[in-house]
Amino acid sequence: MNNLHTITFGKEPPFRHPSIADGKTFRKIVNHLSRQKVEMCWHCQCCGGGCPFSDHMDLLPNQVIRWVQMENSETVLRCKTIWICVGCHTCSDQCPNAIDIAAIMDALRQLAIRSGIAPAENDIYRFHQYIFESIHRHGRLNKLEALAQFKVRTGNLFSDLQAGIRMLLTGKLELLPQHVAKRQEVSRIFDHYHHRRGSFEAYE
Amino acid sequence: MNEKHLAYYPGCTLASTAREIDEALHRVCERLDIRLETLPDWNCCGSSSVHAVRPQLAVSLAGRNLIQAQSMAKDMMVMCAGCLNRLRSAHVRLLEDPVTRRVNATLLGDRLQQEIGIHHLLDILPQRMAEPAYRGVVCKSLEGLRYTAYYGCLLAAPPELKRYPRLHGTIESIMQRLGAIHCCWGYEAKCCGSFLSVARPDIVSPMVTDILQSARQAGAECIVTACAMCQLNLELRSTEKDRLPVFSIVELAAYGMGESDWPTWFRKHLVDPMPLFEKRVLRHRAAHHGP
Repeated sequence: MNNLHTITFGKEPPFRHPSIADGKTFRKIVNHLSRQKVEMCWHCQCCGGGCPFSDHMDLLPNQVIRWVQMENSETVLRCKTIWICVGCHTCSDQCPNAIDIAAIMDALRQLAIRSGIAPAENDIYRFHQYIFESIHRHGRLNKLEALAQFKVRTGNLFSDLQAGIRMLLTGKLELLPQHVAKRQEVSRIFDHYHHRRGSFEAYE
Repeated sequence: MNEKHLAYYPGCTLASTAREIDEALHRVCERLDIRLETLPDWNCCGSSSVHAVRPQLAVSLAGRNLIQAQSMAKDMMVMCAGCLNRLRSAHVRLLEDPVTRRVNATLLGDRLQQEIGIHHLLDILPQRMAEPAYRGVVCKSLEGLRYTAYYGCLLAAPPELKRYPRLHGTIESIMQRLGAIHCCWGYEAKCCGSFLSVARPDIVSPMVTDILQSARQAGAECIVTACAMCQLNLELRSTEKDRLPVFSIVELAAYGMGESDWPTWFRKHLVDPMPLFEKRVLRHRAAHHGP
């Protein structure tokens, strides 16, 4: 299945990777996946102060880091913040200790999906999924396809209809997807990471 | 005149929703003797969604493009700020991290042997326009147009990419050659909302309105941006009645260099820039230089 994950949210008890459930190594896993050192954070809150989305987050970026430092995977993987973050790097740019906070958010998102925890922001999760699948299929992103899927899924068919029609008429959105010529090369890359979804240790 | 040969990576946005920027970019490069050769079989760089949920996969996807550029033995040019970030960070990882190197060598069938220069257009354009051979390349002016430069967040790099020069100030230097008037403001590098514009428009609309209002307060009549996604978000999510037009820097540079296709590019904008362009640029030109 070309899915981000194969577990249906909410129906089965969340699968826990042993190294997450254990709790003690959570900090190290996050450090490893993001290539950062969360211990470096001294909570000056520059990241939270500068974040353009902080109004809509339930935890400020530095609070997320604090919970990671305290090995509390449950709070962190269930929070909205990791999904609201778009990776604009404003926080990473401002951090006096040069922690790439956006990379930590990437790692946490990956861990949340992998441990089957229902995302706190379902629409954003679905959006990622459709974009991801479109790239998997074509090697390049077909915006029309991904956006249509997203609109159908969220039942929000008529928002942006006017702009969408204008974009279609001016040739900004294309009806037919562009393909990579050697699609098997792209599939091979996707498959490689798909099969290794469950194991951190073998990751790299 | 020294020709410059570069491998060009368009990216998904410039190949679809921002086709006009792609076209203008090719025209500008032609005028400056920069020969662009598109990568033979480029794929998505792994931007936004892929790297948001599978960072390592994004590195490999970007790596496939880098390997192609390597086999062309040319430096790369990228116009999309998102692609630039992804390609550069994959480049750093593929050269410096032994494990990523090993995993991707088998996955991509080749290793990255040496550093490849990955340039943004704004890396190249200002210096190129300053060379004596290209002094006369700007033949039409935008005199009287009041603008603010908007770089967006992605050109502000994460810590691992601090080794690359900052691009801030380059839009201003190009616009200065075109004769436009710069209005200072504090939102140059503010995030436009990125993909949340689709997933959560309720968050992005107030942000975009805030950006546009502050541009107005600074006295600008339009915003000039370097990022196609910023342009789209600023146009799409504005809730104001009288929306500020947003231009891409390459469109205006192409206009200044005497390209005549600009009306077809402007027609693709979601906010029609023609009334402003007519009022400030064309009328001004007619008054001073004749019809």
